[in-house]
Amino acid sequence: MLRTKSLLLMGLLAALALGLSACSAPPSPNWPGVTVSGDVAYLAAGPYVYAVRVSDGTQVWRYPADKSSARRIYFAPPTLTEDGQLLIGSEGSEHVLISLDPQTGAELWSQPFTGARDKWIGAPLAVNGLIYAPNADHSLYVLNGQGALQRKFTADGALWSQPVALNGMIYVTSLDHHLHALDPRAPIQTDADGNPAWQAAWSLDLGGATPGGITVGPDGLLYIGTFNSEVVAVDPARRQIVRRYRAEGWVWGPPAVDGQALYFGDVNGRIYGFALDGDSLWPVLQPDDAILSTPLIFDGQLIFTTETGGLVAVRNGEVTWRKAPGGKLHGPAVAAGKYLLVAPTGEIMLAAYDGNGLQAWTFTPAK
Amino acid sequence: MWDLLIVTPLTNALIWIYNLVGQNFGLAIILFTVLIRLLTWPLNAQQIRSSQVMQELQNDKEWLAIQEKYKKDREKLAQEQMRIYKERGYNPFSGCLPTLIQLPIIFGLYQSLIRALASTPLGLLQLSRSLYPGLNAVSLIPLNSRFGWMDLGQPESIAIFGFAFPTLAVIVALTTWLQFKLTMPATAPNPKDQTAAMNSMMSIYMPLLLGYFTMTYASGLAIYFITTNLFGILQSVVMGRANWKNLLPAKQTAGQKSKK
Repeated sequence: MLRTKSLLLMGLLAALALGLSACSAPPSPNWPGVTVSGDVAYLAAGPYVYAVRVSDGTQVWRYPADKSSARRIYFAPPTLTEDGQLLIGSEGSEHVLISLDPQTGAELWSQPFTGARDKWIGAPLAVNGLIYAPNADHSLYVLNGQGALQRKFTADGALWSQPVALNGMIYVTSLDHHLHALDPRAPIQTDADGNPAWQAAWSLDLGGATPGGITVGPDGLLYIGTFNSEVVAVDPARRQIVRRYRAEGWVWGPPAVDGQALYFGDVNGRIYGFALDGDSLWPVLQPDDAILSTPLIFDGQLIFTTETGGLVAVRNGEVTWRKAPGGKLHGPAVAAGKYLLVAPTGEIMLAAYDGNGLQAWTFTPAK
Repeated sequence: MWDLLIVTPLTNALIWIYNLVGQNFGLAIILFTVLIRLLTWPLNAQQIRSSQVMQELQNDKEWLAIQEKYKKDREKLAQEQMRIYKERGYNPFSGCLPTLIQLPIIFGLYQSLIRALASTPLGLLQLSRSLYPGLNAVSLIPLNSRFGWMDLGQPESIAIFGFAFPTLAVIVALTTWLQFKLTMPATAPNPKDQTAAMNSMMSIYMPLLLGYFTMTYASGLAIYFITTNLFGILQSVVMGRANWKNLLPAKQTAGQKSKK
């Protein structure tokens, strides 16, 4: 009996070990990122970064080229700099920011930047010879063109989205519910640990977490989606919210803004269109599931991506076509000349469509 | 079903408590654990009493007699053992019940802890779908995962002379060992005492195993283990069953001394 009891206890402990192992985080905590330059699309999707020809979907190069060297995870959208670098940050257990040659995929920096303590989820911003790299460890790292740290700004929450530059200022949103405005001309200070620090010129409470970034409108306002179920328009000159556009669910990605209106989706799959002055353009649509990214204005229509894998085109408040490339679609559609590109999380890693929803090609890398 | 009945309610309970204790997730885990232990107090009390009964049986004349008489007939021995259990009102599996009940709590707590702390975009999306409407979590999300020097969503360690020392793992192992030692009945060493032998084995393996878990998984789970261990010790003290003498080196009997 005692032997049975001890075996039972051992079995329970083994079950505990197995159960906790099964409780581990999923292998893909984020979704792929895509950037397009000319005829090449750069796709960060898991252990590799791919360069894919837009005209026909063929692979130009893969980084790392050798499978045995593929030990990092890349999902943040790559960034192309003015001086011809392709910047990508990694997630997983190694948090590095690397620079690649966009033509060949070769590493450009002698050492990757390893000064961050957490995942690279948002894309870096490259402007005026400096790199502004947002990290989930709450810091915005400012690097020079060779990857050397110049200074850093630290918020109270993780930075998951790309900063924007406007009128000489840098703006970044954080999961700490704030928009932070940073002046690159401010003198470099030193924090308590002796590291070069950067204080925000001002910060604004937006009322909810803001994981998705900022859209700069043609009117010079900053449009930001928040988990407070709204999009806010911030006037950076007045440092305040000047308009609010209410939604029924959390708004993840910033809106698309043309001269007259703004458009966005929420995590419940609803699609909204507002005139800039706040009037609703058309009844709320709900064609599919969660929308986490900015719609693409393409060929006179709005292209939304939905979590269940739907590619939805909307024109004048009506759904004109829908496609399902296969897999889930969390990231935005990206314009690439006459095509729009989407990066599903599935067997097909990149797909190209024309403005009528006709599929041009798909990209599935060789194993 | 597991998500609907266990993980989602636990996640919302943790967030509700988190807001109650001033947006401190460590305190939320501690308070949650205390509530769970209070609810399972009767079961744990039964386990402590069962352990006492079992220990007394090891020195019972009738028990020892049937061990000797039926040592070659396992079936008959088992029958006689069950008869004695029944006469003494003892359920041999009652000691496992608290552990069995704790298992889904541990699994559920770990999953809800990881979900609530949502350190990735897909994690945050999953969390957004788990929140009950009345919770009003917009002002709380994302949760503050810091508790002292630790990130509750990550394994814990402190850098000492360049070496990552797993402080919580050591505390978990120590408190687990302490709880085992204090709740083991105090008896004179008896080489034929199987219960004591099993307890002695468990008092070594269990702390090591839980310490290993703590090193590997999110430190929020360690907070749960430490709290539950300390509460278990407290319960033994309140019930008057804490055997502090077990912490001292075992005294040899006169017979064992004379053999030398």
